[in-house]
Amino acid sequence: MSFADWKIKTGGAQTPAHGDSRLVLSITRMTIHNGPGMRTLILFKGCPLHCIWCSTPESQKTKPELGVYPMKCIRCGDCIPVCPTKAISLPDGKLTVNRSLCNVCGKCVDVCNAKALEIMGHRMTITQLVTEVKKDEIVYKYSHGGVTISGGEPLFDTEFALNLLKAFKAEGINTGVDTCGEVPWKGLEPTLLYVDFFLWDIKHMDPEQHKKLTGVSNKLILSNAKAVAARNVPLYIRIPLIPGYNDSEENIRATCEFSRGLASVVQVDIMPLHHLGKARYDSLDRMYPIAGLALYSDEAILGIKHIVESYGLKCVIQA
Amino acid sequence: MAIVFDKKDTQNVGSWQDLFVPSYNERIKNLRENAIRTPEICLERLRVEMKVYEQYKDEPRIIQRARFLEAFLKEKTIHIWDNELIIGGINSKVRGSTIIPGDYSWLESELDDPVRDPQIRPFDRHIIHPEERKELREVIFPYFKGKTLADYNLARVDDDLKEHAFAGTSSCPHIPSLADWQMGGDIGHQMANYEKVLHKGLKGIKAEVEYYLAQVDQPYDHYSIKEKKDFYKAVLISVDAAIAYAKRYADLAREMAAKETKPKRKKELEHIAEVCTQVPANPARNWHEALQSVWMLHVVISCEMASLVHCFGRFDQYMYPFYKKSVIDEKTMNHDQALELLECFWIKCNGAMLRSYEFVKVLTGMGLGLVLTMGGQTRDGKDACNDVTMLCLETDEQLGVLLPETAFRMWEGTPDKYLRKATELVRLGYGKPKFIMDKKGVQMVAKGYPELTIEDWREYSLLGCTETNLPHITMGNLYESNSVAAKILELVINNGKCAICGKQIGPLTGDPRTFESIDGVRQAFREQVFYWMTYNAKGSKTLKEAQSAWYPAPFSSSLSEGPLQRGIDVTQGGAWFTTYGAFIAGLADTADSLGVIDRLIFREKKLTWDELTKALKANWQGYDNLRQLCINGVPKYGNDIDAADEWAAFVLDTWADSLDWINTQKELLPPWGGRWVGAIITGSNTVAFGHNVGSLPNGHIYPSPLADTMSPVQGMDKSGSTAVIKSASKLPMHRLALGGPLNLRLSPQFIATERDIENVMSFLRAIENEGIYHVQFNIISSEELKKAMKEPEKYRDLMVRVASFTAYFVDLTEEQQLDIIHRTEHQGCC
Repeated sequence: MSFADWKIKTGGAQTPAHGDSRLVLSITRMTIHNGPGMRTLILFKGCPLHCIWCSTPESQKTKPELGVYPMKCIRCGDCIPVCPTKAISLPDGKLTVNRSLCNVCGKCVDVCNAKALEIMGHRMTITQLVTEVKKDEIVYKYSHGGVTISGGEPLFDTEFALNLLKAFKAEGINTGVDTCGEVPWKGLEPTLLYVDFFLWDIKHMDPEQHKKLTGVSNKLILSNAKAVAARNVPLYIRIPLIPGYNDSEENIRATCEFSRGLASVVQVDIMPLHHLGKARYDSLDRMYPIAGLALYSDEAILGIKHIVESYGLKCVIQA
Repeated sequence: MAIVFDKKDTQNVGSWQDLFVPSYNERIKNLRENAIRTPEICLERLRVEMKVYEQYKDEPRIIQRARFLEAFLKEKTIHIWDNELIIGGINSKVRGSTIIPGDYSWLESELDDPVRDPQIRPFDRHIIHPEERKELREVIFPYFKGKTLADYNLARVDDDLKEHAFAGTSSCPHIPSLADWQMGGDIGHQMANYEKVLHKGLKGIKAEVEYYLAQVDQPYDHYSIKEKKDFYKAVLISVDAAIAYAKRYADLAREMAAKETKPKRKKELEHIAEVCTQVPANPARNWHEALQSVWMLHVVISCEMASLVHCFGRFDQYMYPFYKKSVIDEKTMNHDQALELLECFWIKCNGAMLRSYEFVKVLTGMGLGLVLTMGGQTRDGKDACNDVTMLCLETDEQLGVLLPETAFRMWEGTPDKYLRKATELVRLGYGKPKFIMDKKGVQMVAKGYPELTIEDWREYSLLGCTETNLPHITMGNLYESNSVAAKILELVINNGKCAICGKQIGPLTGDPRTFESIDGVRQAFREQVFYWMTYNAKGSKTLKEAQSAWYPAPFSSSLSEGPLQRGIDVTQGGAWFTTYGAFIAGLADTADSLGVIDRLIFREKKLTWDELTKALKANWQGYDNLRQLCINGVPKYGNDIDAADEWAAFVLDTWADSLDWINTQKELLPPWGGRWVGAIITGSNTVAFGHNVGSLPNGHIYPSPLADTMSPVQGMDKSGSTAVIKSASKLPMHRLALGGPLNLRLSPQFIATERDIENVMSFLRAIENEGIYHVQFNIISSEELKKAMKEPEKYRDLMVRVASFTAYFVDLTEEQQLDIIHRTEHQGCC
């Protein structure tokens, strides 16, 4: 299908009113780890998985959430009287929100000049997103980059995702989708025409273990991967490496064996554990399930890289 | 297998610099020490000045100057240091600073001071030997006291100018526009026609001078016959002095060769003698002679004018024929030998300059401002990169020394090969090279030189920090004006009163409470800018007249286009073009503050002038909440938001308007004319200027530093480098012919792998296309990350990226920050 066809089908960047907006967590320009070239990365809110190592916990729920950053608080107290549910207090000068009372109305955020309170998740339309992504068009042109949608799960709302991807394509922007793969085939299939590549997470090959770590079985994820590969859409397989959870040689080998069977695999990215998401758990007053888990040594990572490469797969350490 | 995270592991952290293993030989290794050792001082220049001007006191000044150069070059101590292949020193020390008459004004009080003495102070140290201290105290200070150009200027400048143009003499030292920098000393800033000497030799130049001298006796130019004759005579004396100087080195080399016992060095010295006999008097015949000739000319120029910024122009362009001849055609040397010679040349450039304690306190590590330009386009618009371009990049990579500063001109046709090498050099984190983008650069030069054609514009190269200059046809008087836009805004808010000392220094532009709309602010801002720039131009004119009378430069004149043809010294308007540079500082703070006033006072009416002025008066103490509103509640420059970026454009447009206006006012320019051109340059003066500006509506607290050059206010660019680029591309740079640098900070992870090199290359190409004139990259070192841990408020914008994960460094917990530092240390693995 040519660009012209897309334009006719989608009416340019215009999209139908239904399925034309979604909660966006953040838009980061000039990223280099999310596909070829330099890319703008959009994180959406809402994910069917709840991985215990998730580094963006604020992306899991589908509704807006209140982020609290006591370090930025200047203790002016303006937020306390405006809260309709009296959920905010400043015991010992530390900004505290009673989560059981908070209804995320955002009134406190409006009066907080220091940005110590923040709503996570803003509704954005496709037009707004396209405008934002187009700002770096020249950078994409020279670096062969584009946009990567991620999250959360970018295909969680498949209708929206389809419209969004069409809109990007209508502007001639290269599109990448960073997905967990847990998407009904019926929703996934129509998007394939508008996706230049997938970053496809495979977190564990054992369905039981997968369920234990992420909350869902891997059946659909693996069958989708096969089906996408059969349609020849490029796949970057991504393995988050969590020591003691999914980094056994057996599991790595099983993942490689599976990846090797996918015709359109470009490379395998291995992503060693980091604890950078901990601050985000704190701002949501949630417990970080794998706090203190030891990090990898360089040698250990290189060892895993060698295993992947022994399967004839290109392996990149995304650290 | 995993290791337990241990804080101890992160104490010694490295960078790409540590991973790079230079391949230079033993000679270069030893010589490199010369480039980085603690400098000494040299007093020989002063001794000659004291004697010669007295001896020739009845001669015209220009002859005196030529006689001074003659005597200095004849009497100064010369050395050929061990291992050297390129020889010749500006002064008598291995690495030394030449002391000039004007230095007495501060050196007298700092010498032997327990804190400020140059040998004791913690930064930019200089060794001063006891006998030199004695000579300074007993002979030099008493002689020059009251006799320098600065003293002369101070005595003749009228009170009005003293009050409004010079911070050093004003009763309010915080005035927004300063013309002080040229108060004493010579102008410097030469970009000589090295190419001409390489092909014709100084003897060729001499013949040219003699030709013009013979023409002077024409009857139709009878008014200035004597001046012209004196000028040509002075040029001849200077050129002869330079030829004789090179001969001294040839003799010394021969003498040393005779005594030398090691056969290898003996041969080298004999060769050096041969080279110095040939150049710069005669045309250069090979790579070695060309390098020696350029260096020797640079030395003589620096001896004539002790001031800064004698630049090399388009080095790779005029040097290539000699490289081609030696390495490619005649094969008299190989690539490695050519590289070794260039490395020797590079090392020679690392001289020093002694500056006062107060100066270096805010501006440490500044070199002599030697810039070497490479790459870009040829006159006919083809790519100009050649083997010498690559050789320069290799030398920079190998040596990692401060000088010369290298500027890599790039355009859409720059081949990947050269761009890749330049990008790999960026990775080492020396801040080299600076990237100069032709797309905008040519537009800017077109504004500065509308009379010329595109072929000439393509020849531009860098003089000083980032200033465009057409080599050897322009006399660039660059440091003529230093203006602080933020101070202007402060005066607007206070109706012309200085917020720091409370004096009424500026014109009454109206009580802001009476402004009905933001247009009132705009108008007041404009009036203040024109008022101060007019004074600045007047002050600068006065200094120029005195400076050109005191310090004409016959030798430098002989290497410029214009002076010989016109018979007028280069400092007196002899060059085809004369420019005066106006530097603007505090752009981002001013733009952000205007945005705050516009949005919060006039549009949203969340704030009144009274509240704002009260908060500013209190330096924001006790107004935390309001300050946070001003910081977070209004879009800021640097985030690709038009509403904010337009204010930055307004500030620069206003300045450009004022300069355009001054250029039409004959009485504001020196008698020989010239034109003012603008630049956004602050150097490290952000610290010093921070002390001159009170608190500002954008949340700026007195006396913290202002934002540098075109960069956003520290911590306010929250949308990444591409947004900064887009914001900067909206500025009217085409109206500011001297340009300005944009500093971008990259984390080492961003440029870790081969693929990342490709990415940065494509980023550079995108930047060129966006219409940015200049970028330079700072690679964030782990040292800097550690600093960010200590002072988080200064590093709010510091972004770290790990895989798909992006975070503001300062938002992370200590443990995570140490993890990032740990990653910085181990970046080599992936």
